[in-house]
Parts: sequence; C-alpha cells; structure tokens
Amino acid sequence: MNHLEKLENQSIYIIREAYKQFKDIALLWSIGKDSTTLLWLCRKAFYGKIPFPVIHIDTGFKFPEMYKFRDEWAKKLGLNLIVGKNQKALDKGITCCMDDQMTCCKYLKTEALKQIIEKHKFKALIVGIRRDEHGVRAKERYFSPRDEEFKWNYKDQPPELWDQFKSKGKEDDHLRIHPLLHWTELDIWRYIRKENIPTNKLYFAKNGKRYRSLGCTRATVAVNSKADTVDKVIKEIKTTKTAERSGRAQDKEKAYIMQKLRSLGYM
Amino acid sequence: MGSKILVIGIDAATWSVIDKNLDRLKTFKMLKDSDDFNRKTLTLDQKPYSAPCWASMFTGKTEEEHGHHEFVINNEIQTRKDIKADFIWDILDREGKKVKALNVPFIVPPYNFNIEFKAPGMGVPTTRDEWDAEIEKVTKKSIETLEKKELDLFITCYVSLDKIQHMHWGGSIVDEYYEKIDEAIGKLLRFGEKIIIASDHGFCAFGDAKVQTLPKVTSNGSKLRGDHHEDAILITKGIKKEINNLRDVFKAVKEEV
Repeated sequence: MNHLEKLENQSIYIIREAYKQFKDIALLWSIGKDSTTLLWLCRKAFYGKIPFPVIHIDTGFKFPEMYKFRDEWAKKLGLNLIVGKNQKALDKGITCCMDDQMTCCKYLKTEALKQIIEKHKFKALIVGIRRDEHGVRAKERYFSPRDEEFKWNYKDQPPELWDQFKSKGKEDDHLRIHPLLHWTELDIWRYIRKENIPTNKLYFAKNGKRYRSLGCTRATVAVNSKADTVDKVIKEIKTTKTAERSGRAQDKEKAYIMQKLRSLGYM
Repeated sequence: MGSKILVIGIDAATWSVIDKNLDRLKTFKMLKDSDDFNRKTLTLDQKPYSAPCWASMFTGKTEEEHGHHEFVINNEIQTRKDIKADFIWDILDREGKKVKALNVPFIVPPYNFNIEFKAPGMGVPTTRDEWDAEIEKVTKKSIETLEKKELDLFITCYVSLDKIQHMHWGGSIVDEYYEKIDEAIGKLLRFGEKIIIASDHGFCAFGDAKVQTLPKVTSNGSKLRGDHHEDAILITKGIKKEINNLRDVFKAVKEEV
C-alpha cells in the first residue's frame, strides 16, 4: 500500500466508523479542495452514494465560481444538498468583514450552521480540516467533541492512541469528525491528481494569481503564482515558503491581535 | 446636530497624570474650572481590567452577571456574541432611540454599534503611528457622525493611553499623549448636551496597585512599567444621577436619555 492509499484507507475507516455511530450525521462542504476531496472519499466509502446530507454554509459573499461549482457538482453527484444561510443576520445588514471584524464569521458561518443543526437535529458533522493548515487545528482530534454552546475545549480532549477513537460524546455533546486530519496540502493535491477529483478553477493561476484557500470574497486574497495545472500546483507547493492560509484575512487578523495582546501581558 | 447624551470613554485615564499636567491640558483645566462640570474619582468595586470594566459600564451589570472576563478565552478572541447581556445601545435601539457607539473596547477589535469603523492596530495600538492614528481617526469619525445626525446617545472611546502607560509609565511620552487626548476631547464637547467622560480604571506604577492585573514580564518577554489602578476618572455635565461605580454610568444614561 502506498502513502496515498494508506491515507485514503484511514479516512474511509473513520468515515464509516462515524456513520455507524451516528445516523443523524452530515458532511460539511465548503466547496474548497479539502472538503471536495472528503466528499470524494465519502462516495468511495459508501460505493458511490453518500447516505447522509451535505451542508454548504453560504455566507452570501462567496465567489460566483464557488456557487457555480457547488450547483453543478451537487447535481452530477446526486447529493442531498442543504444550503444554510443566516438570512436574519444578512437582512440586518451584517456583511462580511465589516463593523466588528471578528463577528461576521460568527454570525454568517457559525450561527448559520447552528440553525441548520438545530433544524435537522444533526448529532455529528464530518469536516475536512487538516492538522497542517493552522497551529490551532494541529491540536484537533479525529472525533472532536463540542459542548452545547458549540465550543471546543482543546485542553480537554479524548486521547486517540493506536487508532482507538472515542466516537461517542456526552449526552449534549455535538461531535466533529475530521477524516482528513492526517493529510497535508501536498497529499490533497496528489490525491486530486490520482483520482481526477473536480476542483474549482479559482485554484489555478490566471494572470499570475491563484487562490490557495477559498473563503469569502472580501476576506480572501489571491497569491502570486504561475501554477495553472494540478502538476504545477504540486510543484509549487513543494517549494513554497508561504503559508497555505496566508490569503485568509480572519487568520491574519486573529494572529495579529493575539500577538499584540501577548506583548501587553493580556495572554 | 449633536447628541443628547455624549459619553467619552478613555481607557485608563487617571487623575494622577491629569492633575500634575493641568497647565498643559487645556480641556481638562477648563472642565475643572467650569461650574457646569462635576469631577470625581470613581473607585472601582471590581477588578480593574478593561474587558469586564467596559462591559459593566455599558451593561449595568457586575462582571459575574455579564460573564465577560477576558479578551481571549481558550485561544478564541471573544466577540460581542459571546457576551450574554444587553448593552445600553441594544436596549435604547429597541426602544426606538437614535444610538451609535464607536470603538468601545470591551472586546478586540473594539465594538461599533451602527457605525462602520476599522480601528488602527486592530484596536490594540502599540506604536506611535497607531496611537496617533487612533486618536485622529476616532475624533474624526466622532465629529463626522455627530455632525450628520441628531442622536439620543453617542458613545466614543479611545484606547491608546492604556497601551502607552503599560509600556512607558513614568516617561514623557505619557504626558505627551494625555495632551493629544485632551485636545481630541476638546473638539467633541460642543456636540453633547449632557456629557459623561469616564475611564474604565486608573493607572499607576507596576507594583503600586492593590490588585495586580497583568504580569510584570509578558509571555513574549517584554517588561511592563505600568499597571491598572482601581481609581478611574469621572467628569459629568447635566447628569442628575450620582455615579458611584461603573454600572451607574449605564443607569445614569438610561435615566437621562
């Protein structure tokens, strides 16, 4: 078994284990490369037909290419797609990255997701995060409990030794399942090449720019790149020193604020 | 145009610096000499820590009641949504009053209500450029807002003094920026019919405070020279209610509006 087959094997094992534990489960699909890879793995795990709904949280500020990609592939793959949108917040005028700069994500993403979970009574969500994406995500578990307030206490997590997972939480807990946790950005792109997984064209260079990570239009910037094919993207990632999420405003702002608060003794 | 009630918040203004510099601080001198204004020391009955103090001032609740203790909890920056309490602007807005709040520092970046504003230094200004930018931008935005529309309540806050005093307590730069804040306040006073100028806490040399709120050496190795003191400043004009603690600011505004 080669490296990619091992990764795939482990992920499919986790996806199947999650579905065995929770029938009221859904997959979170952000339309990005990771969650689309996860979607692909879910199809493989259940022989072509994903037996649970796929949720897209729409902030209302995604790239038009993302909406097009979502609708096209949801239809082609026969997905049971649920689109979550916090319409109340949008009607109140909350927009992406304005006003209270850290709050828009909470209203337009977290709150919208909460509403969907409450409506459909989902007990668990399958999410495509990876350890190498961000320092905080490196602390995650494959089966990660959230409390009734949706909060993650990274200092109190179940151990996951020798592939033994605590796949059940407390009564009120909501579980996040992360089958891609052990993958790297490079693994994802190699797997995309191997499996020929559909990928949004925003990831490929046009006029010397491409997106390495997709989010809301106002909070995501393109990186300089000439990589206009999967092979070139793989080659670029092997040598780049730029962080994958360097184009995501909320990550930069958070790190900047934390650094400043530390310098003043507040943390 | 202007506001029926104008609240000017100054993170960490303290009488000990103001009074020794009164000859340089024209606005504070005028406020002291004027019969229209009352000034007093507001001795806190809660921990002198900005996040809960500002929240108490504008929710009318104790720290235990509003439950907002820190800017960051479990590596997550706290936002307005994490605080399960109504603020004065939420309540008055529901009652149909015209309310705006600018740069209120109970969270980082500071909170704005009905105003679009991006705080220099993400609300934690730590350099000269950021301190100057904050004072200039907050003043400019306040004047623009107050000139545009007649309001029932306008709250505006400055945070630079807190950061400057932490880093440079005892240095001439502290006096220099008090002068800049003094000038900024002087530009705003004409817009308020009734006025409250308040700080969330006072300031002192590290080790002189009854309650030490921050470490002497920060987690990234820099030394702090000043620490929060329990004596905040309070100046009022046309406010009938006796303000004896931070929560009373909320009550006074509610009564007067």
